[in-house]
Amino acid sequence: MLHCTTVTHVRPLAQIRRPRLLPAFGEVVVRRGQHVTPVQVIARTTQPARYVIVYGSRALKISPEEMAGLLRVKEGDVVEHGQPLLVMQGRLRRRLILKSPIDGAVVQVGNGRIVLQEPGVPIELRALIEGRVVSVLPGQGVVLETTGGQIQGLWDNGRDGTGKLRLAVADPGDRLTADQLNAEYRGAVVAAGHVADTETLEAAEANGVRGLILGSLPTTLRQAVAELSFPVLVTDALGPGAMAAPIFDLLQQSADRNVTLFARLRERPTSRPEIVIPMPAAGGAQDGKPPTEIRAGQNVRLIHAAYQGQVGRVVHTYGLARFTPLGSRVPGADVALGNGQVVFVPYTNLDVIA
Amino acid sequence: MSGENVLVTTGASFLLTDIGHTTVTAVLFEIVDGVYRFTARGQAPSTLAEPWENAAIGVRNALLQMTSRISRPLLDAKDWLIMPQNDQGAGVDRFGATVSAGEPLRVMLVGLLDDVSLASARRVLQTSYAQEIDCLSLTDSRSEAQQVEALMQQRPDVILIAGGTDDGDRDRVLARVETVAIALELAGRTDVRRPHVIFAGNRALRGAVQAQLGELAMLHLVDNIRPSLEVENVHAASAQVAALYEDLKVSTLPGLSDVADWCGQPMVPTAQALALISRFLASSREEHVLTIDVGSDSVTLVSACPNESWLSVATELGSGRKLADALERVDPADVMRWMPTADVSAEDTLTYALNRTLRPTRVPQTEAELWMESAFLRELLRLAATDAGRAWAWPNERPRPFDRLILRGNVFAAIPRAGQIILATLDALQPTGVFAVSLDAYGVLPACGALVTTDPLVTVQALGQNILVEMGWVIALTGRGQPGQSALELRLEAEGGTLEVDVAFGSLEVLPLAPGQTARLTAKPASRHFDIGHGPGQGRTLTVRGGLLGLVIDARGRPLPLPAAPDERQQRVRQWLWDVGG
Repeated sequence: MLHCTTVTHVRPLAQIRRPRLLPAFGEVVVRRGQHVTPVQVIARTTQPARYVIVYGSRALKISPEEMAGLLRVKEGDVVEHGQPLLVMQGRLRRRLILKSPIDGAVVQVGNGRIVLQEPGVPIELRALIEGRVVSVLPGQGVVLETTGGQIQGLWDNGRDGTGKLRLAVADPGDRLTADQLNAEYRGAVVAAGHVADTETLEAAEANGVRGLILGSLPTTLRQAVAELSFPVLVTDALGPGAMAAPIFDLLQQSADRNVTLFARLRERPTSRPEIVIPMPAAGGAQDGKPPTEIRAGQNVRLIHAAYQGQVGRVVHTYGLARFTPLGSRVPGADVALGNGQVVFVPYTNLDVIA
Repeated sequence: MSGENVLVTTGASFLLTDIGHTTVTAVLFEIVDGVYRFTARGQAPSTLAEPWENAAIGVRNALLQMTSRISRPLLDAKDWLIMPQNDQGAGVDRFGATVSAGEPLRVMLVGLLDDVSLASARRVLQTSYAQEIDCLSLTDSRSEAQQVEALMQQRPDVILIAGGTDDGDRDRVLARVETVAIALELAGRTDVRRPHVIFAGNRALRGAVQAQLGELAMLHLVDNIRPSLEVENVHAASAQVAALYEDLKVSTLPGLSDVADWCGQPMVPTAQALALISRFLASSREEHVLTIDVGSDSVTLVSACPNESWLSVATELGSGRKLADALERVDPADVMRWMPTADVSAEDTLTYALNRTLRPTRVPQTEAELWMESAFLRELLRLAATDAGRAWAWPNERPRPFDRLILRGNVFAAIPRAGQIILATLDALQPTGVFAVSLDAYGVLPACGALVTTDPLVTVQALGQNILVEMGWVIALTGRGQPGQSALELRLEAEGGTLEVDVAFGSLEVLPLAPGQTARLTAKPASRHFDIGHGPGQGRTLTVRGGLLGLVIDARGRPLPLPAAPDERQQRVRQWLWDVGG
């Protein structure tokens, strides 16, 4: 009987497609088919800036139609603080002048209002990976394609970044500490089993670390991690736990290569954070189709507090539901752990690593 | 249900799938021995998330699983549904789908007063998978420029404008419409996507609104949700929101177009299907039915009486992907109060909830995980019931007496004992009355709801086959008394004999009544200080059927007496669990 579960890609060489999207509508500056480098700007926009509305007709006690004839600016004009927007000849030769309260631009005039906007901060979106533009989404971004290693993560702090991969620990369960981090890690993406304190995060920031890859992260550090300037990607769990061995092994094999950390796409809640290790010149990339069925022989990660981070091999799949020690009847599989122990795990608590 | 006795000699086979965020459930109805029966089920994880990002794969997996149970193919060599059923018996005749997998509609509310037009607008959103992302109102302290910024930055899917009774307020409504127009005009210069605007305010302003917004947005003019201060009419606006959910969030799901091609009818949002079937059950059995669906991404409540039904969908609550969002409304202390042990810390519960959000399919495997799962379930039910109760004017935010409680959702399947499920529900809702509890353990109710208008015979006959799992009956009383004081006199007449019980105030008891066994139950409060839903001191006699647990008598009082001291409270919670066999 067919049984399915979740799948996590941990692939040494794969064909990877990755959308790169602007946070607001803007301009894509590369074309389909173009080769891009990690630092290359692929799209631009400006961060939405503050609006100010000047109520001209209300201030001068005139109708919107009358206001239109008194305007000294038009849509698209750049204005300075204090620059006249409206000038009206009042009684006793007095001139009533309505001035701009900000430096900015006139973005809309109508219905007795003048809408001004402060200058926006320019945003440049870089490719972050070497690859090819396979699709352009006008005004929004592009889809890039590259070849290389791919590890799908679990949680991220919302930032993307790239740097040279350095493993700071020897074992997937090892903790990264503040005293391990020094100037040698400047510009590096550092991988470790877990961190336990804010001092380590502060040391990473102070030493110019460009990213952290962790097996697990204590829930109490989520806020501190959200405030870091660089990306943090968690592969296995929030709370205690080690990094799954296949992930740690692939990172170990990729040490000193450039890696890119991508956060979950804000626009696509079903997306996952991802580590990409580009090797654009390499051939023989794996097919991107994930398995849809649990079978004996597959490597699986156990999603269960008692076995957190452990990876085993499926030795038997059951067609009918079985009782768990709690008394629930659920379908599942026998999984052989690294120490030879065989445990029954519900399919829902397995994650196929493929 | 008259259709139960109709013999069907030939007829179509019906395959229906319910496509959720984390699970796809397929159910098959076929004719067996002259009546429609629920004959098979297949279930598979949803494949909307990476690495698949294709809803059709999950649907096909559920069908393949079903295939292995019915020993005949449903899909052809190209994985396409065989339809109609061929001479060899392969395939099915009809296919339909209910869907809750779309992200909720992101709706910006625009109106005048919080307790008038905006209250009605919020009730509109409650009837669908929709989420309020911001609100512009008379009490909004932001400047108009800031409101424009908010409209532009939030990029809502839908702007729902309410305000003004018919032929009532004009200027203040039009001022809000003008603010929306400024934002839409500015946004339209860069964003090619035109948002949908529903105008459900003063009918007299339709022309003016059309002139202001007609070119800037996809404008939908519907009946005023508040035609007068005394009257609320949310039907047209609710239908429009549901239609937009389907257009914007369901039909755009990756891979769903394959499945849509198999459907003979439009896909039905799961919540609407549940509302339909609850209404059907209520009218066919002359009952008041309360249905609760705890999903990974939403919690749905339907209160259905023979002539009317009410629907409330909480899209910010859920037992899986939305559990972390629920933490914004759930006080950790409220979760911890349901722990029967001191072995679970507040940090453990937070960690559990966050990981459940990231891996919504996982089920508890240890006692500690089970207690945490059950504790969150209580809080989700409590919050969802509080929201619904406010909208439906429940007294003291507790449900009005009902006759049947129907539960569904994977979270219930992960709780091993019937007593644990019923206790969690009683703790959360704290109802009063005499009612049956059923569990939609096979996930058939949305399918029955989808068929009830087009093919009612299938629904009637399938429901006649006891496809809901009967958990038991509950007598829940309210009142004030001293612990140990006599609160309720019970007489249970069954085939094996008669049982007379004097129930003490403060107690929680279970009387055995096996599945399928019927009994005559007479329940009478011991004094006017106690009420079982029929008025102080009023008793009731009715026929009850047995279930997995039996007859539960909840005489603990309302609100539940939970001691403040942690060790005393844990002992009390533990005692209640023991009382129901958990």
